[in-house]
Amino acid sequence: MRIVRPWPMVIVAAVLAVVGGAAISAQDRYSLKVPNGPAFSEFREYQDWKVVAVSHAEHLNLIEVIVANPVMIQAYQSGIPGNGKPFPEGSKSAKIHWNAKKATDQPGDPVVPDTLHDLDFMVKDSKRFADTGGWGYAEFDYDTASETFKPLGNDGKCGAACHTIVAKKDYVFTRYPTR
Amino acid sequence: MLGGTATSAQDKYSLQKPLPFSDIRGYEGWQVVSVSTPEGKIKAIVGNPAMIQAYQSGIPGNGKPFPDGAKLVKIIWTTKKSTEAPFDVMVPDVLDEVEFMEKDAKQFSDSGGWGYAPFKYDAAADAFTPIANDAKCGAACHTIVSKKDFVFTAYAKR
Repeated sequence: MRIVRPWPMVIVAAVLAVVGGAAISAQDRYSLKVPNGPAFSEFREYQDWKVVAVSHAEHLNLIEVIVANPVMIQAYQSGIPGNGKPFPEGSKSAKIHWNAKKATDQPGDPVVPDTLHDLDFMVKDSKRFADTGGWGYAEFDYDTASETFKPLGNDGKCGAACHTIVAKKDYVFTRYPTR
Repeated sequence: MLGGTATSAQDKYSLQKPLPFSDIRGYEGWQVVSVSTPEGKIKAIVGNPAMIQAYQSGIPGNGKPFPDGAKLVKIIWTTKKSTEAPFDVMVPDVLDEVEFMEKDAKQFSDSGGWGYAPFKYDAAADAFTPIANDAKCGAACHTIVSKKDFVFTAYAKR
């Protein structure tokens, strides 16, 4: 029975070692925050979110996937925003932008992701982001060489100027297409 | 019953050939592997948990094959230019095809261990139709990347 007890200490030590190591090796992206805006950690597990759609901006040489958290996916599937209702509080989406490249090893040379370019997030919180349509925005640019992210801007309003074009769709450009 | 199904929605998961569509039940919620834009189309490539875990463990770059049960789905849309975005960007228009490949080294031993199944989507009828007679249809193309266990798509870092 006593053999079981030391394990938590070992785990704590291992975690501390990893955290200590992180400072001199990989960046902890979840420690980042847009000043006066959303923190990266508000979008934890965005890597696991479901796909809303994909897009390709050829002149910017970017290709992207738009994913959303369960709250937002359910909202899309219930007909929002086409039914005139707003996305619920806690809805979150992420645009994962990659630099685009031609895949010359594939039939037809399709355009596919190369390196990561940036991550764009938006989060619905009507009170906190009352002056930007209820949405807070956060962009983190990625630097491939140093494998680090850097927050862009000084508040959570960076997306509002563009997204106001689609105010009637609760400020969300991306449609949920049939699949 | 037949009359009823003809006038209502097709149950895509009842399709059996070239492989049962139900083999990828729930693919609408699978995680994204990557995206791609062949001519005039745009697609999302998603994988089941076994496939995603395999990618994350370093397969196929580490020389190991994907495990049995790994499944990859390509959701292919026609594209259109967004009429709303403040810059030119191509977005999905209408669903065009759903294609999948699944790993079963024994069942598909004569096509590299992978079975292939492409389905064409007819938006007007809201129905899928198989576009291959057998599960080997993808093998001819995919053999180009036999060194990557016949998988073209790389797991895009995010």
